[in-house]
Amino acid sequence: MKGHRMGERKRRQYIGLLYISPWLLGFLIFQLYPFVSSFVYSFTNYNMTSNIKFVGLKNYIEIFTKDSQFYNSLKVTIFYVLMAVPMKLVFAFFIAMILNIRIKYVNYYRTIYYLPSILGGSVAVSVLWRFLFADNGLINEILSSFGVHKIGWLSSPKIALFTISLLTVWQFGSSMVIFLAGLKQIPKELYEAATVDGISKPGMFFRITLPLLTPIILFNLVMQMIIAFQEFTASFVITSGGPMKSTYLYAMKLYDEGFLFMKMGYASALSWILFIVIMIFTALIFKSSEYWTYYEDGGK
Amino acid sequence: MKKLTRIICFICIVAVLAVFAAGCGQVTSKGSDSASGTSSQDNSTAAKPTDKPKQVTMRFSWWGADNRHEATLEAIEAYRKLNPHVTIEGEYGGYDGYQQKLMTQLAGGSAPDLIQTDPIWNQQLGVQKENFVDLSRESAIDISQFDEGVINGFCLVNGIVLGLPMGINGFGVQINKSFMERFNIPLDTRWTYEKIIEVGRKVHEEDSECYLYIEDLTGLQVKFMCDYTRAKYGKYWIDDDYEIHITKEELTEQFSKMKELFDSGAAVPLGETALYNNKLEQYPKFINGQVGMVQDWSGLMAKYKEVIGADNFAVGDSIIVENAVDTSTTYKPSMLLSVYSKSKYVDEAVKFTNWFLNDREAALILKDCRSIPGSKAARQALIENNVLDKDVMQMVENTLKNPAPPVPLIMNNSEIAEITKDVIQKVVFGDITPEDGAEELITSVSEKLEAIKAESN
Repeated sequence: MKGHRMGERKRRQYIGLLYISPWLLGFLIFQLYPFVSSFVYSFTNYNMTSNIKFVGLKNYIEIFTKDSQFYNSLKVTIFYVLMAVPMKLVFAFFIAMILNIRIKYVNYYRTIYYLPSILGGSVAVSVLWRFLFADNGLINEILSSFGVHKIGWLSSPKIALFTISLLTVWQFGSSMVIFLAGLKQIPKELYEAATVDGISKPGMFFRITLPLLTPIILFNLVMQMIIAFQEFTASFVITSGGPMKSTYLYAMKLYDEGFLFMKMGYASALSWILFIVIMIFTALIFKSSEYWTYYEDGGK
Repeated sequence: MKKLTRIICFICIVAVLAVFAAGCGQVTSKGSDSASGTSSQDNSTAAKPTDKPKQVTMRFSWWGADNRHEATLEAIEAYRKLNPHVTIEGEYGGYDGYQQKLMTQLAGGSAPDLIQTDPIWNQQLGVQKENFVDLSRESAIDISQFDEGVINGFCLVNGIVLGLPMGINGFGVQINKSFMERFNIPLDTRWTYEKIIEVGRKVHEEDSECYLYIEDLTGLQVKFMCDYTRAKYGKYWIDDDYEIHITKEELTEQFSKMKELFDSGAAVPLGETALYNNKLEQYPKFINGQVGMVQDWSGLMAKYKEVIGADNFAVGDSIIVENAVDTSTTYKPSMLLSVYSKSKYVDEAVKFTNWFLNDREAALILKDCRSIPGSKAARQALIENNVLDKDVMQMVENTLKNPAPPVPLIMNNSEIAEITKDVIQKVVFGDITPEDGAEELITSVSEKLEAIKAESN
């Protein structure tokens, strides 16, 4: 009897594994295997043509001691993250606040505002961005009709990175949806109590809404930061890293080393450094969150 | 809520990091295929003569603009009518990313059977010559139709004929006639960089929206670091001995000239053309007729001509410098056609190559979509039928009067090209002086040359 039950249990376990096997296989083949192999390749001189030779830490040493573009691309990427992520979160939060007001057809508005996020990552939109912000592009044409002098949105090394990050900001949809869900979760009683106490609207925002949303802000901040560190499409399609490497994001550097110079071992090492950089930034944010996130149950 | 949020946070972060890792991994996962992929395929399955030919499906990749795509597809269709058992699938698109895709396919053992390549990749393709059929050993190809100098200079790499020239590329300026008429500039001017600066400055002063000359960063790198140095000093700045052959003073001089080209208003600012790298014909001012001329290969003439308009289009000699010591013109086959040695149907691919390059019917379909054909037979067919574009003809003739010898292979190294582009940008944007630029370029390139030399030994 007992053995039978055990057998039944085992059988059910296998069925369970069978059900999740598509995901499991995908994970093993497309995620875990490349993850591990890129680590191994990072200690080799693999270049897709000649035989693979282990070179120890040579790639890493070269990156840190000889490669000036490494520092430049890291700097550009950090600037990009510092610029794009806060802008995107503030914007997403703002739109979420608006869409939280009870108005007619609000669900349609929510869908419309989410659309850019679906389109944003595509090459087509990047191409569109290029036309909009070119020196003779639509944005400059509109500005010039107001008498504003032409701005080198993408041709000036000082502004190009900002323009690229605007494309990221425009894809605020997913953060907005999460903010919206967070706003919906805040108990109405708190606002009612505040109204009774005679607290003004801005007061309610700073004392109720914002503190109760800090866990959501933390979540969005971490997720968006990780994504921003890996940004590639925009700078590749729109500016190819230029002008003067001012938009040469880390992912572009990685791509160039791997696919232009065929130095796959070197590129693997670069990708592992990025992985560690992202880990450090994530850890920092989590550490700092102890001081600025509030949870409903009073915990930190 | 706190716990739940943290758990969700954690799960999502792990998932995102894992996805990211997969992203990095793609770079390497291809490589692992190469180990298994290349060894599992061999030529044993190559078509054997039987009574009824076996159905064969091959892939043929090329890059180009629409006119080339249409002509090539038409030629493929014509070949299928002649050989109903052969189906050829075209894999075509723009130049951007083509090389990267090809290299990955070669490493993964999944390259197309027939491959169009650029002779400037010879160094990178030559080190993996086992991937290519040595076309000089294939009796099905009439190699005598090709100029021996071209074969030896541009096709013979590491002892094998890696590919055969699809076209002969002339080089020179491609001119918008009405622009020149508007500013009273004679069409037959032999342009030097000094003259472009002088005339271009006046043009830009007269109309600040107009520029005499346009160049993108990729072109600038080639034209100043190859053509300019050769014309001015009669040498190349680096050579296959992995040494630098230009002095700091000489480099400073040519950087100053390059900077002046932009500062004078003669050339469209580099920041503006950055968005149109390799596609200058899409630059709005070029389309509007506010740019006088561009310097490019005859194989790319069709795209400029289409924008400028055939009646409004003229060609001229390549740009040199004043008191040039070498007035030869840069010259190369427009592109090579190679056969993948790991193809299942090497014999069929070789047969097609011969037909595509040498056959009369093929030539009349393809015309000059890859500039003037490299094969004598194909060229003859076009001349007899009077279908060659007169401008392409003229540019190739101009070039062949005094063609420059092939550039050293090292000059096509992509890492050196990137370093050079980086310094050139800094100089043109005024970030550093030409003198500092020269210093920086010499330092970083000599380091890189040493590293390349060490690797190659």
